[in-house]
Amino acid sequence: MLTKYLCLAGALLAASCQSPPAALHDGGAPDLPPRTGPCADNNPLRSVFFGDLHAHTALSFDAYTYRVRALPADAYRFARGEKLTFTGDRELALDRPLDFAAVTEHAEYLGEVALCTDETSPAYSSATCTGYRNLPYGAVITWGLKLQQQPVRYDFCGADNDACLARAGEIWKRVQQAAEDATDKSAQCRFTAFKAYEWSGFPSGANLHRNVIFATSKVPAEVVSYYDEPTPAGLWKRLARDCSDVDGCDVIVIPHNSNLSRGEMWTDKGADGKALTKAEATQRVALERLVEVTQHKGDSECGALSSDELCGYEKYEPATAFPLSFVREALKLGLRLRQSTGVNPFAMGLSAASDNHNAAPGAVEEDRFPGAFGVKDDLPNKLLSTANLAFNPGGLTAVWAEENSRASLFAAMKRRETYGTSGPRITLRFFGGYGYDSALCSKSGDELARAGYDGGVPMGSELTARSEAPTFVVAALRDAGSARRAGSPLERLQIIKGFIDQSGALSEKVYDVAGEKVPESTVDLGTCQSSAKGHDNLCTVWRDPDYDATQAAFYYARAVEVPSCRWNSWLCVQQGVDCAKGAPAGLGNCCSDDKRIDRIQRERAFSSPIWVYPQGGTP
Amino acid sequence: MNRSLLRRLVSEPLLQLLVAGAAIFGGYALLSPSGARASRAIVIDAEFVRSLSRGLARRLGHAPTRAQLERAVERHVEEELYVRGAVALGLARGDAIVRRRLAQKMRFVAEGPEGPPPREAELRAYLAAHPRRFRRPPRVTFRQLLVARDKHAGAVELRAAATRLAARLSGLGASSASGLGDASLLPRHYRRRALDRVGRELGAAIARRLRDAPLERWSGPVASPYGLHFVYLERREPGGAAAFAEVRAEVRAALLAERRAARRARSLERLRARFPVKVHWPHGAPAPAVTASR
Repeated sequence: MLTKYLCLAGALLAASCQSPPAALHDGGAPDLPPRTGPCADNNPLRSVFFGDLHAHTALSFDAYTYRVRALPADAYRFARGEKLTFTGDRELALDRPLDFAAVTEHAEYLGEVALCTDETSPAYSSATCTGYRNLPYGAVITWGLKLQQQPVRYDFCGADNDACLARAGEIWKRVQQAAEDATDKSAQCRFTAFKAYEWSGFPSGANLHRNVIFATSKVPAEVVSYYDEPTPAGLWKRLARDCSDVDGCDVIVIPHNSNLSRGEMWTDKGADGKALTKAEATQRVALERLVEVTQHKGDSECGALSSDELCGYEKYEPATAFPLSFVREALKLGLRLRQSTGVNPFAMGLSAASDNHNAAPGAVEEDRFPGAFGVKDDLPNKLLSTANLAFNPGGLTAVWAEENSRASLFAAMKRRETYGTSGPRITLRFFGGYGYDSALCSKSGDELARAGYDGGVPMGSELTARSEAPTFVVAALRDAGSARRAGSPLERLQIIKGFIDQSGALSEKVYDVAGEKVPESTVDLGTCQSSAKGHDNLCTVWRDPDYDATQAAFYYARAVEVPSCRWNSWLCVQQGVDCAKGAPAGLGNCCSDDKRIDRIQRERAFSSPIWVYPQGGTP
Repeated sequence: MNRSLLRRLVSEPLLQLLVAGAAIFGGYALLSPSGARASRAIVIDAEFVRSLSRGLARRLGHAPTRAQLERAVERHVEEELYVRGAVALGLARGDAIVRRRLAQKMRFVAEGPEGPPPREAELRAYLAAHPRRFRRPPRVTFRQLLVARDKHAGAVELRAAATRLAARLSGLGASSASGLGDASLLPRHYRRRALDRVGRELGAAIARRLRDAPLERWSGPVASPYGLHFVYLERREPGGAAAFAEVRAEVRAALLAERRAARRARSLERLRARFPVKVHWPHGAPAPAVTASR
């Protein structure tokens, strides 16, 4: 009786007096036997598949407080092209379905949220749970801040945290079932879902978040959260152990939002605070095969302080003073640590994701950004608030794989044959080798790929330095777009080089290798139409004019689109804002002359690097 | 008390009101069954006190004292008293949060439980009833040649180049044409690609053409986002009904979603039957759409 009234009187939350995880999805189907042969369209020269390896649903503690109620099964349906209803009664379906996705719930509080929203659980009426349900805006902050503190769970988890761990195990099973159900196991190979979760440690305000992605159907029975392993090193150790206990288990870890890590995502120190050891470097690079280079909470490729003019892109904290918050600096530091330990601990391929908290993986179109935080940003005036303008829809991961199966995609991710995009489906090939034919660009895509693999290595691989400079083949095809909206043309191709010289100094250089810069004045902010011609296809065979065979270096390719409207500009146009007449209430940022508000952007794709190491091992 | 005073008092409006009120409340109290009265009592049962005690023990690190437990009970009693008082005064009415909450609870209650998971036979029946929703996509094996938009100055030049290429292709087989057309990162040869995927990669026009194109000869030009293409279809595998094992998970998800929607619609209909709805549209409201439902 009392609990009924408590429930009724105070709750702000939609389903707080029921248990949505328990109520909305049942136990599920037995696993299908895996297909025995290859996928129908298996391609030995590899095809590109687009996906999103980072999305949250109502099972994540923060998404729940934003009144998101969709579950992993809904997220996978959305990824496959079906309509999803968002908060605010809005509906959206992707123009183009994704090829693959991973729902990555926060491992932290997986059990806690389920207990707090289950009326029949003893924890339900605890002060913490009552607060979680009734004061969601406060709760998301307190629960979030707790991840910056000592890893001690809430009292209601009971002795030895048994109650929360047991419930987390049940929810993890549901998450797994959704991935299993969504995966097409026939030879049609239309969609792949990965079993995955997010480890969300934020010690002392440094974001060290990582996604854990499994290759297999059988995975460890427990998720590893900040409360179980409060350090990344602990996570790696625990994953290695748990995964080795499961037949056929394989796993990778994808760090993300290093831009908010206060420079602590990548350091030259080991777990004990002393210099990194070879064993630690080896363990790290065995798991951390990819890094998320851009997503909803900003771009992490390179800092605004870099001399690279395109590094100002989507900087969530434009003035951050931590160079090592950025991937390019980590790739450079990796070269130095390879000299001291013999292993490059930061040899990571590039990927990108949405980090959408609306159960909407792949909702990354700039002109239809539905927000990413439920009721927190579900209306134009909320999206266009100064605080929310710092966010963006996020990007996609592109994978070069023989076929759209878990095994094939995962193998590609492990060998880093991937690239990230800020959202568009740009096709990007990047090969390095010796003696590529300088006329390769006059060939077709399949001939270029055959020559690329035959004469060298694809993105994500290593080359051994020779006295002559290696040749790189870089080619990009613009996004084909959809019936609803054409893709943008390409502006130029660039190769970014990072290297270490004899004195141990780390440097970088950016080369424009094809195409040319297009001015931002080609974008009409009143209509979001572009007059830029740009290129459909860019390709070049390139040699480093500054090559030095004694230097360790990495090279990665960047394909840049012509300037286009950022999501906020699209929204202002769609809202019919005419700044000559003054902005309507709540949409003032459409017409503000604040120079810090980006209105035009250059969307892009970033390849995984090719590393070139001097002969004879490391000095 | 004399009669004139009594008459005056009886004619006093305030007293009339008081007497009438006493009669109504007294009558209500007398007429109400005793059970209704009993249910108004706030009863804190032993099980609830035990659960409070367990919660306190976890927070305090030791079993609570009698005084601590009494204070906790008193806090809950106070809250319940306020809630009862608020409900009695109708404070919940017009409160957007309470309304939304009530509506949500009612939706949950009215929809009822999920029901047993669908049986295999039901899944098979559902697939049989909706074969079009679960079709296997047609697949095509073909070659393509591109006259690239960005390699020719304008639409006229692009057309002209396509016309020249068409002339060279007439009568040519697939392999002898391999050096023709403009270079691009697009593959020349697509093997067993699903037609919907071709549409995503090369545009709907090419997918349509491949659906009907003649086998083993060049056909075109046909437009894509990249320019004009000629296609040479080598093999077409028609789409067809999917085998049950292939689409079982999809069928199951669709069936569950349909059942959920049906439960929701039924519950809403039941409520409509109980509470008739009449909407008075104001003058000047937008005119109804031609295809308005309901």
